[in-house]
This record gives sequence, structure tokens and C-alpha cells, in this order.
Amino acid sequence: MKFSEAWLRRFITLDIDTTVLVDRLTMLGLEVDSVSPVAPPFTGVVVGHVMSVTKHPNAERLNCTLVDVGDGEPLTIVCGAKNVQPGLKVAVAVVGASLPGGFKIKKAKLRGEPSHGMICSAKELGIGENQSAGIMELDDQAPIGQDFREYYQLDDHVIDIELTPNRGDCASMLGIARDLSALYQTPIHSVDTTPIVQEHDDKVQCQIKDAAVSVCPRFATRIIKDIRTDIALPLPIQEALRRSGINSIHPVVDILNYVMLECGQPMHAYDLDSLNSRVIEVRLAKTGEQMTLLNEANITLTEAAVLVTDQHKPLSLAGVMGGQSSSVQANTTSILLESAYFDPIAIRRSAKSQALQTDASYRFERGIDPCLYQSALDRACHLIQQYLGGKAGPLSEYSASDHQALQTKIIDLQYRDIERILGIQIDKSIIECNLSSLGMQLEPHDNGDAWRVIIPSYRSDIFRSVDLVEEIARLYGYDNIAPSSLLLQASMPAIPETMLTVDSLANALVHLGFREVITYSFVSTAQQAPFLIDERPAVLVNPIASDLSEMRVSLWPGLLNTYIKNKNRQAGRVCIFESGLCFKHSEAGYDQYQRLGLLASGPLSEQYWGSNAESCGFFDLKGVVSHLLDLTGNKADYQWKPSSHPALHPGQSATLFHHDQKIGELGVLHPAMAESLGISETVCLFEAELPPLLMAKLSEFAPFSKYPSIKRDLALVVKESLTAQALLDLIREKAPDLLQNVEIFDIYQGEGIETGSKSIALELTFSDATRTLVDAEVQEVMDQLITQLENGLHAKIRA
Amino acid sequence: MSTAQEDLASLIQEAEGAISAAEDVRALDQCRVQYLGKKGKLTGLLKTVSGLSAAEKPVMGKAVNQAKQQLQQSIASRESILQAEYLASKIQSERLDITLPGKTFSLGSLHPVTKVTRRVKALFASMGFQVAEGPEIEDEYHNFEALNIPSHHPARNAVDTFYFGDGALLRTHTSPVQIRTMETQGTPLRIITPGRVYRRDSDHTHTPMFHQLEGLFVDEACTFADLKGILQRFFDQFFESSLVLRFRPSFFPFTEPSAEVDIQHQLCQGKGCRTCGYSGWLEVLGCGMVHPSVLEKVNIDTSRYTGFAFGLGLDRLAMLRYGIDDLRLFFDNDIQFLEQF
Repeated sequence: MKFSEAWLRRFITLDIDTTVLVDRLTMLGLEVDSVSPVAPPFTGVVVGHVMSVTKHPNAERLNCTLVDVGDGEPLTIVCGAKNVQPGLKVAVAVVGASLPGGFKIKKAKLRGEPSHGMICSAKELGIGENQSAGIMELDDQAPIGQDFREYYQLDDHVIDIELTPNRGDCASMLGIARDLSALYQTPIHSVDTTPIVQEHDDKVQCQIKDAAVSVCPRFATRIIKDIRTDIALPLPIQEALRRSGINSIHPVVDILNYVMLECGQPMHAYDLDSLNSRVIEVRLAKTGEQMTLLNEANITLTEAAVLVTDQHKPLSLAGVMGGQSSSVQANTTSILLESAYFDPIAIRRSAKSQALQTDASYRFERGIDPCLYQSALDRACHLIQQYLGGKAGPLSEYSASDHQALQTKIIDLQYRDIERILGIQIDKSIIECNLSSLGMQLEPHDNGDAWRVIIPSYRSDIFRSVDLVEEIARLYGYDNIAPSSLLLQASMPAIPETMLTVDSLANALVHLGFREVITYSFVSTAQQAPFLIDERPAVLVNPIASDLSEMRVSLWPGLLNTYIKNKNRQAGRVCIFESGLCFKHSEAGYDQYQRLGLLASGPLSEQYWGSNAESCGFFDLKGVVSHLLDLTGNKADYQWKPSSHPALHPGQSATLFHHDQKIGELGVLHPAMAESLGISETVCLFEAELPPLLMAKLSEFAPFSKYPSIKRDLALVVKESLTAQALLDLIREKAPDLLQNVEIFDIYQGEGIETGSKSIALELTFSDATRTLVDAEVQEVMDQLITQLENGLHAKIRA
Repeated sequence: MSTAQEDLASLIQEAEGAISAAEDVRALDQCRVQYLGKKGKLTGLLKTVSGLSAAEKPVMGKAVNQAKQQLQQSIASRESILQAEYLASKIQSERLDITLPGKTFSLGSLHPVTKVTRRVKALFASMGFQVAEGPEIEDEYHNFEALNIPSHHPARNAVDTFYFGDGALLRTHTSPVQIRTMETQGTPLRIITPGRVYRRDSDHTHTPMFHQLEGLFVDEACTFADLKGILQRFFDQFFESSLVLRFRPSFFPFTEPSAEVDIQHQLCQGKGCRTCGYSGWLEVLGCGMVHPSVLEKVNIDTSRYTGFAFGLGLDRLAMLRYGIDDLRLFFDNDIQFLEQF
């Protein structure tokens, strides 16, 4: 909320400068967002009176003027503005003046005519935007020769505070002044409250029925007739509105806005002649009902909307915005003023149903003072009569007796609760003083250890004693509450050793050269589609962008996206990983599951001068994953089987199983997909559920052999289609206890091996825990094994 | 001098010459065989001693043995010279340009948000705070209502929420994890809740997804002064510097009293600059005493227990810690950005 510092200071006298004021407001919880001078620095501008205007002899669009600036001879000034005319009061920059932007006014000749100054537009003085409006036209009463800054009260600041949703009571000068008054223990200067003199009997009858009673427990109107239409409001009111960021619309509307900013009560004015009866009603809208608002929007209503109507048509969207057909016009002479208390939730629903937020709805939603409507109406009526004339009619009021907002709130506050919550002791006298200065009435009881606190009607945010504790702390000053050290009960959390942490996997990946990325959890439908098997993705109804509408089912779309972006920026090597939740629909609602995803492409390691960098392939990423599985100490629990994942290369992909449970996929991106994504390199992908990758084994000591082992190499020629896994499985199954380990160290196809076959070279290690083996027994075992391989797999010993 | 003695002298001279002429260990070995071996020249000469007269025999025998020792010594000293030379030349030939880079195992990197998250977790873990996690697709109850934000509360305007159309939504803060943990674990409670959160907002200071970490402490006798104490300590330790903190009154539906915490901007030393919006302060955290309505909803006895909670943006913390000037960099994942951490 923006307001003028000078205006605020008319409500309270404080001997503090702007910096301190701003700091105090912020520390009261009224956070100041920005402070800016209402006008940039300039000097030498005074109020002038245009005495004559004659055509410039040499320029079509210029005029020569004589301007009285109250100081000796009138000045000759050449002026190009269309609206210059004799008799006008204007802002004149005299010779020697310094204008915003460092522009200096000197004696000059314009097209041969002398010019001793400049008549200024608002834009030239940095106080308005509109250049086409021409020079500023000042009020007739402006004193000739007065310094313009002084006349316009430009030594002022616009302060913008960001009100928290609970402090609706501070959405006015009066509200802010109340908080400052409590802090500084200084009284507020009240505004004029002269009683209204009734000059005619005309009034409308207000009807509020059924459900609308809870929406509008207070509704008051007054008719003012014969107001003048040719009068501008005085400068202080115009400027107060302008500096608060409120556009000037119509003198009546401007006065209502002025009173709203002054005290916080939004009001509305109707053109009396547009009403078809003297009965108006507040009711909920009917679904499908239509009206045109002040902003010319045609809206279709729902039952969420609250209306003020006459007997035929909606007059306004209550508490939000007026209707066009009933709005005051330039020639309106009779008006109906409305001032009401609307239920905050009803107005919020109503405004939200039309996606509207106005200065009025902003205040009603936050809860205005339910006791304010009448005095605000009188204040507005008083100002209208003062400036625009007109005759006031009687007050016509509807008032429900039993609305919750109208009941006086009384809260019991225990003294001990203050220390229990804040952690410091505050003197009872200070507490009483603070709360009283906030307008609360206190009645001590229980030997002064507790109070019954009566809450003022404007504090709609205070419901329970803890709210009062905050008020006490706020005025006492958060800064004055000394930090203390928590006394903690020692605790020792469980740390399961059979569970790896995500951090440990991430660390391992970092050491293997992978970089962690964090991508959005939402992706585009098109991007995700090729990765779906049978999952139903969760789709946002209001995504931030159409390509971020679907919750990720897999980490791959995000990783591929990151890969492509980096490739476009000439990255050579992209080895990345991400861990996080993926999402899909389930029968019960949504499945949200932790996954780990890897993408590797380009050289496996950084370029090294001693060797050629090899590009990453299937076995490189499989090696990385095996390394992760090794961390569990449970490698035997995981198995790889050929995969048929649609996004992966059919010949270079594998499914990872954990105890026969499918947990992940590894492979090279399918060539067709690579092509459609414009990827020319090999891209390797891995993704798996995270929890099974974290299931570690508690280490258990097993005695190891102190005797030397014997190694034997074995080269077998087998069918090309035989998998290494099948071969190793058979060896492990058939081999006796003496076989300690078997490793593949070479695969060969080509010269010397017939087509359709391959050679697999194995290294077998034999040992015994209790003795040194002799060659002969190892040979015997080898011979048996070879026979079994020959019989079982049609393997041949390679010559 | 007898003939035999003359022969011995010339043999010694010849052998000494050959030894010093030996260019490598192999040549030297040949010398040893040639003169001292079983069929060597000196051995041959020794065999002739037995044919000498009784008077000459001992003299000559002694002389040959001395010669043998002398030559053995010469060979040994030549050998050590040759070995030293060999080693020197081997070393010379194996000399490397040690300024060439080592063969690297490329080191990857953790995302800066992860680095900061781990740091915050470690600091709070040392005070007994345990990590709690929860779903990111949430329901209205845990994300709003249980946190004292009924529908049609103006506070719901403050955050724009992503919805799925069936009542489910993306959590706008990690506070629902607090509710879920209080529901299941009861009191006393000491948790932190790091995680992804989502708000429908996007510009250079907002991304539709970011990271939050909230802390919750519920116990007997925990106060606002304790909250101030723990946060002051945390920021000092996190930034490894004594920071000036400012607690200013604010509003959150789920805490009362509530505060926003600003740290004095280090760059401008609180004088105000563009980065801090000329205020001299940077907003880093929201906190407060848990609202009794929130505790009541999870059946915690508010006459016995109080609690405090705080929430901070991990991305923002990473920006401050590492001097990152644009939030969007975090989710762009440019390798040139990632490799700096």
C-alpha cells in the first residue's frame, strides 16, 4: 500500500525523520518495501500568472506570453503548449532554475523572440507522466510568486508498505497512525466529525434477506442532492490520492477514495437518477445473471457473487466494484452514498469468482472495522458538501444484530503465558501500557496474574491470547528479546548400517566424474511420451507453461533435456545424475517414488595427453552402476537381464533386478529416438528405484586362506549367442569349493574362430583354506569342468 | 726378480689395464673370468708355483695370492663405478617433465543446492534435529488447513498453487511434512524438512520449483528467545562469520508470534546497495512460535508444550553462500555452472 509521508504526519506528530519512521514501521511489522521522493530535486520554479498570450511571429506552434511571477516586471516567455491561455496559473521555471535531469534555465531567444524562463508541464518537473496534457494548470487561488515545491508540498515521500494479510486495520492512514501512536505513546489528531445537517427527506430503503444477512450485517446509505459538477477538489486531496497511486476519476469518487485511504472504509456512490426505485437490496447473485462493471467488463455471475441491486438490476458487485449503468457521471447532481460492512470471506469468494482485486475488496477481505461504516459515511458526506455543495438526506440503515464480526471480543490473558512463549519476563506495567495504547481495555483478575482484554472493533486479527502475546512482543520490540541457548535433552538417533544413504551414492558418482543436476519435476507431455510404458502421468490443471504440465514419471526426460542444452553450448562430456521423486497415478491416488537417474555421453574422462579419450559406451555406464552396487556389499542380490525398454537400443539395454524384482533399466538411447532428438552421439542412460540400491549388507568376517592360490586360464569357443552370464552361472554351479573366483578377461571374434562363434577367455582361481593345493588336483578339477562345459554348452577348448 | 715374478708383474699390469678398460658390467665379468676364473690366467700362474724351488715357492705363492686380492679389489671398485654410471644414465633416460598434467580420474560435482542442504543438515543434526521427508503431491488439508490456512483466507492469495484438479496439489512449502511428522511422532520433536516446493511464479527471482528447509522444535519450555538463539547460532556457523540478524514482526497463519529474519548485507555492510534493495538487509528466513491452533489439530497439549518453527529457502542460501546472482541458473544445469561447485 502506497501513501504520502506528509499525509500520515497530519495524523500524528512525531519528531523523527523519514529514515527512522521507515525503520520503525518495518519493525512494527508494517514492512516498508520502498521509499521514494514524490518529486526529483529541482529549484527556481514558482507559481506564475499568465497575463497575455500572443502568436509567435516566426513559429506556427509557439506563443509569446507575459507571465507575472510576483517579482517586478512580468517575464516574457515563449511557450509551445496548446493549453496556455491568459489568466492561467502556471508553474514557471525562472532564469537560474535547475530542473530534474540537471537542465538549467537561461535567458534565450526562440526563433528570434526572447524567452526568460519556461512554463512547465508535470512531466518536466518529474511529478507526472503525461506530456500531452501540456503545461500544468494550477488552481486559481495559487499564490503568485510562491515557490512551487512549497505550494505543491513536494518535500514529501511516497512510502510503500507491504501489509501482511492479517493487518487489514492498517490499510489506512488512521490505522498506521494508530500503530505509531501506540509505539510512541503519542495521541492521534482526529479528523473533522461535524454532524450532518439533514436538508431533505429522500432516502432509499435497504432490504437484506436470507443468506445475505450473514454477508452484510451493516448497510447504510445517504442521498445527497444538488451537488456542483464544475468544481475541482483542492490540491492536498488531489495530491494525497496521486501519491497513494489512486487515479482521479470524479470528484465524488475521489472523495470516497480519500476517506477510504484516511480511515479504511470503502464506500460507493451511485447516480441517484439511475435507480428505478427507492428500494435497494443486498443479495447473492443468481447463476448466469449478467452485469457490466465500471471497467466495462461484461461479467456472468455465479452464486459466489454478492450484489447490490435496485428492484430491476444489479447496481454493483458489492464490496468489489460498481456497475456501469449506475455509476456517477460528469453531469451527475444527485448521488446515493453506500457504506457497509461485508463479510470478509463472502467478499473474497465474490471477488475471486470474477478474478478481481480492487482497493475495496482488498480491505473487505482483510476485515474492516465493523463499527466504522457510519462515521466514514458522515465524513465523506461532510467533505462532499464542503467542496461540492449539495443537500444531505437522512441516514438510512440496515443493521443485523447477531453477526459474529459485531460482537465485542474478550480474551483472557495469563501473565505466565507471556514468559512461557517469549522466554523473557516483561513487567506487568509495561504489558498493560502496551495493550492499552493499542486501544485494548484491560481488566485485571486473579490477583493481577491475568487480564480480561477487550479488543477494539478494528482489530479483526486478534482471536486468542497468543495474538496478544505477539502484540506485546511487537511493541516491546523483537530486538529487545535477548536470544537464549536452548537446553537440549541429549538424544542419539538410530543409524542403520544396512542402509546406504543417498549422499553416499552421490559421493561415489561424483568421484566417478558425474555431476549432479536438479531439473524441474514437471516436463512436457511430448517429451515424456516416449518413456511411458503403462504409467498414467499426473497432469497439472494450471501449469506455469504448457511445456511444464506433466509430472515426471522418469528422470530421463529431464536428463536428456539437460544433455541437449549442454550440447548446444558445446559441452564435450556430459556425465550427469539426478535423484528425486517421480510421480504417477495409482488406484489410491498418486505414487511418489524416489529414483536415481544417470546419463553419460562423450569422453569418459577428461582429455589426457598420454592417451586418446574413449567415448562412453554401454559397458562404461554398466561399470559405473556395478560400482554403485558394489557399495551395498550385496552385489549377488542384483542381476542383469536383456531389456526391451522402448526408449533403449534393443541390442544394448539391460534390466536390473533385485531379488527377482525389476528395479531399473540401463542402456544406450534408441537410435530412432536419438535421431528424432537430433542427437548424433551415443548417449547411455540408467535409471532405477532408489531404495533397493541402498540395501547394504552388514559386514561379517569370514576366515580367508593363508595358503597360496593357483590360477588357470581357459579359452573356450562357444556359440555367439551364449551370454557371459550363462557361462559364468554354469561354471559357478558345477565348480567345486576349490574354485574361489572366475573372471572373464577377453572376448574374441575373428580370424581363427568360425563365424557364429566367439572365444571367451577366463581366469580361474583355486584355493583351499586349510592347505596348499597341488597342480594335479587342480588339473583334475579343470578337466571335469571342461567336460561339463563341453557337454552342457557345446564349448570347445580353443587351440 | 725371478722370471715367475716378472710374469706375475706383467700379468697384474695387463689385468689392471683390462679392468679399467671394461665399459660395462658384462665386460668386467669377462675380465674376472679371464684372470681369476678357474681357467683364468692368474689361476694358471698359481698352478706353476708347485714347480718352483722350495725357496721360491712360499714367496711366489704369497705374491700370487696378493695379486688375486688386488685384482678382486680392482674389479669390485670398477664394478661400483660402473653401477653408479649405469644408474645415473638410467635415471637420466627416465627423466619426466613433471609439469605435464597427471592422468586424472575426472571429478564430478554436487549441485550447489545439495551442498548447502548437506551443510544445513549437518549443523542441525549436531543439535539433534532429524531429517523428515514427505510427499510432494499433497492434499489441501496438510498443505493449508492443518496449517491454519482455511480456504478463503487471504494468506492463500500469497502463494499461487499448482493443482491437479482432484483436490491434490503440489506442496507450496515443506510445512505439510511438519504436520505429518507431528501426527505420527508426537512430542517432543526436533526435525528439519528439506525438499522441493512449488509455486506458480516465474521471473528472475522466482522459479516455479525451488527448495525449502523448515525446522520444527516442540517441547516443554521452548520459547521465542530460544528461537532467536538457535537461529543466530545457525547463521553464524553457516556463514562462518558473526552476522547481524534482525527479527521483525510478520505474519504466517501457522505461527504466532511470527517474524521474518533479515541478515545484514555483508557486501555493503548494511549501508544499502542494489542487491539488497538499498535496505542494507537481506531477507533469509521466516519463523515463529507454532500457532496453538496448529498444535491442537495434531492433538498436542498446548498447555504443556510450545514449539517454534522456521523456514528458509535453500536456493537463496546457496546464492548468498556462493555469490550466485540468478536463481534460474540452478535449474538450467549448465556444466560450466555445475563444475564450479
